[in-house]
Amino acid sequence: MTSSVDLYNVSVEMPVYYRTGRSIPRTLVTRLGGRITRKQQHADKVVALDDVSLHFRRGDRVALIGSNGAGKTTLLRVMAGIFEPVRGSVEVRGRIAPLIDISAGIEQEATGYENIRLRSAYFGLLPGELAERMADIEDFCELGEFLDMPVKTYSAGMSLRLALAISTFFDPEVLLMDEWITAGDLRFLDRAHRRMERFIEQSSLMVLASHAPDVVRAWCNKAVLVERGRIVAEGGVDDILEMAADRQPFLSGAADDAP
Amino acid sequence: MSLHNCYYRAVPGTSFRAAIADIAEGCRSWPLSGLMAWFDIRQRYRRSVLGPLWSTLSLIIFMSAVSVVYCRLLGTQGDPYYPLYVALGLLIWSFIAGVITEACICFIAHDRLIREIRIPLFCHVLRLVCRNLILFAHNLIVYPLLLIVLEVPPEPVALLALAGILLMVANAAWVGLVIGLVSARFRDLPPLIANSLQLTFFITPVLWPPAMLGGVTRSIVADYNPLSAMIDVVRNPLMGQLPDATSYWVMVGWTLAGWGGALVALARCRARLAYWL
Repeated sequence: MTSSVDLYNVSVEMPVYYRTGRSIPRTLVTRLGGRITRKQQHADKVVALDDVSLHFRRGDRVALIGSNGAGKTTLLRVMAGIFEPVRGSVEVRGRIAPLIDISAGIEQEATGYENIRLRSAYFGLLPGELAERMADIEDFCELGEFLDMPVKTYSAGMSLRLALAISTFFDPEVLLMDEWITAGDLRFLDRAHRRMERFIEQSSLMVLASHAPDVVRAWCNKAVLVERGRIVAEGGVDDILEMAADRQPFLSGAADDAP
Repeated sequence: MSLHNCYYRAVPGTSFRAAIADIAEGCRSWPLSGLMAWFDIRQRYRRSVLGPLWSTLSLIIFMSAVSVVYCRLLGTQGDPYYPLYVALGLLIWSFIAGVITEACICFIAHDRLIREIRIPLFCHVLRLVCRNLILFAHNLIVYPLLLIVLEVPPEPVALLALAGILLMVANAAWVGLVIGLVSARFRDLPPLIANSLQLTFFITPVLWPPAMLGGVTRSIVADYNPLSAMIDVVRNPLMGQLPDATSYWVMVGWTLAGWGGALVALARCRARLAYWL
């Protein structure tokens, strides 16, 4: 099956409820109150994405570039089918592999093995398919007997290894990755880095949110500049990085800091 | 490899088709819900020596204590059916109360997972129902024990309880779905439910037979109370009696109406849930 990601004029609004906005009495009161309170009935909305159209095909390695709060993670969550648009439509072909918040869904009280089983069930793997991959997972995490211990006994590095192992053991088609990968945690974990590279190579389409130019240059062949929920430009990695550096000077600073 | 997640399309708006697809896909992936439910139970009793036996044990203790006191209050001393009545009532009530209380957090508690991996929302509801059903089945061992202790012979009509359990589960699923969705949006609902549930326990015939009431009170509390009907269709067959036909009608009516309402709620809230968490 060919992989593709299509966003047609997608807009996303985040409702922000404050304490009073979420209560039933408030809604009842405003329903009864009529005009004056009408305005307060609706929660504040943050426009996270505004009329975004994007079309990615097989072989695309896309970098979403933009400052904090530009809408990169929201865009990934829209592609992952988590946030549905208020306007426009989304179409994704291919099995989605979300690596947005990899430690999400890890049960702290459960053991490593239990978490592996749970995660494989979330992705709909049959027990037999998991068994085939178990040796690979065990080998990668290097947790040994700790896999029989509750995850809450793990160190931060161990949990990260487990999270990474259980998020990358199946064949991805549409890989959606947030910038945690560039946060530097993984850099010292050489093996993790190599596994990620292999995982990325296996995927037929990747979208990576990042503001580290060196990572973008190493892994991507296409870039999209996002600013305040809108697509500013789309094109080759170098062009877009240059453009981003002009518009957002701190990005060039990040380039200098990069090892 | 898995079949789901291979094609995804989203358009805004209230979509009954998407809601039905969510429920259908959720039902298809019942092994996932079962696994999650099983983990929940193991988690709950992980470091306890008696484990889920605690739940059964507390039921036995509660039943014995209540039987002794209420026997005198209600004048049913010496009736072997009364302790059985109380035990089964409490057993069914603990399922109902468990589903209703935990429904409030069936989405809220898994917010990070819901924001990371797209699985049908109905899976989370099935997880809740499965978990409570496993505990219910586990507690059901009290039933044969009581039959032996009280020297009550089992009747073939007891098999009719299976139909009752089916109705109970069908209702638990829509209740879980509706309460879960509404609680995610309106955070006043969980405490409201916690408060009203206790009140409901006292006005529902769990510990006392509805025959002791009369007139309008009886009709309100027993005949038209859906929880009373739910208890009736499971408890009566297990006690060797045919449930009231009204109870079945009430249950079927609630199942249909509830699922209708749940579909509307899911169609309206499904796409918005991730934003509310």
